[in-house]
Amino acid sequence: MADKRWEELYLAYAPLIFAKCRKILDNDAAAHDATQETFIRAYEHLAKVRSVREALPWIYSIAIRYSLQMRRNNQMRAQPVAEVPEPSGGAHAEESFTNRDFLLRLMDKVPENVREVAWLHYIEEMNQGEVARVLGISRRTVVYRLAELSEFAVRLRATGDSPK
Amino acid sequence: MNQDQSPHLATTTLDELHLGGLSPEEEQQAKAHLAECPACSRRMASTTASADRYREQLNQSTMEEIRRRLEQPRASKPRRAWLWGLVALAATGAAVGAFLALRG
Repeated sequence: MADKRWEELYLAYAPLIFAKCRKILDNDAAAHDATQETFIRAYEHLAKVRSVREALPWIYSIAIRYSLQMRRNNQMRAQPVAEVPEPSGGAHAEESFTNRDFLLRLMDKVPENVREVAWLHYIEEMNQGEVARVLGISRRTVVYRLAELSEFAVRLRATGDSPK
Repeated sequence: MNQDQSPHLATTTLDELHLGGLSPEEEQQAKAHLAECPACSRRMASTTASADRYREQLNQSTMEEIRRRLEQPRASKPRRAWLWGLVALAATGAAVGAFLALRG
């Protein structure tokens, strides 16, 4: 029974999940590994799935988390990144990141929970409600994490690593 | 980039369009938008190209590969012996403390 549900999920979503992983990892082989790992993790937690239709955000969140972690590990191996000071916690308006390179550099330096939100919002171009749904968090948390990202950006720019 | 009142199609709409999950009316609206919007059209084309490549070249073999991995015996999770040691140590300390307190 579990195998059948898993197979349904795989056949319905694996190509799309591969496309999402490919976008993050920019590499077919790495995206293939990430897709495999995503569906292995999905199998292990299959009991959480109520229906194939409702499973997409959940599988998507597994894929995003795993791929972003892989991406960060690859970046760290290629070029160790300096730590950015912790944000002070003050409220900042959401920033409009028009420089993609700066945004990608920034994402390698922020905590995982901020990185996931940043990727989905700025790169996948999801609105705040969609991000909240995929990650299973409140919209308020999404807003807070985007504000945290803005604070990290301010600090990163202050260290002289500003967008060219 | 993205704002909540974005003029572009939501990613979930593009995903649903890709999966064939939109109602006929929604699908028609989405396709009309794609015809007018190069940015959304590029996003859709990129997803479709990767997904099609996977479907054509990797889908079946990967499913079999995953099945093989799932059938392999799992390495057992490392036992947290140190944690249980710590718990035992704390319990012993508490017992000795209580004993000394009662005697005093």
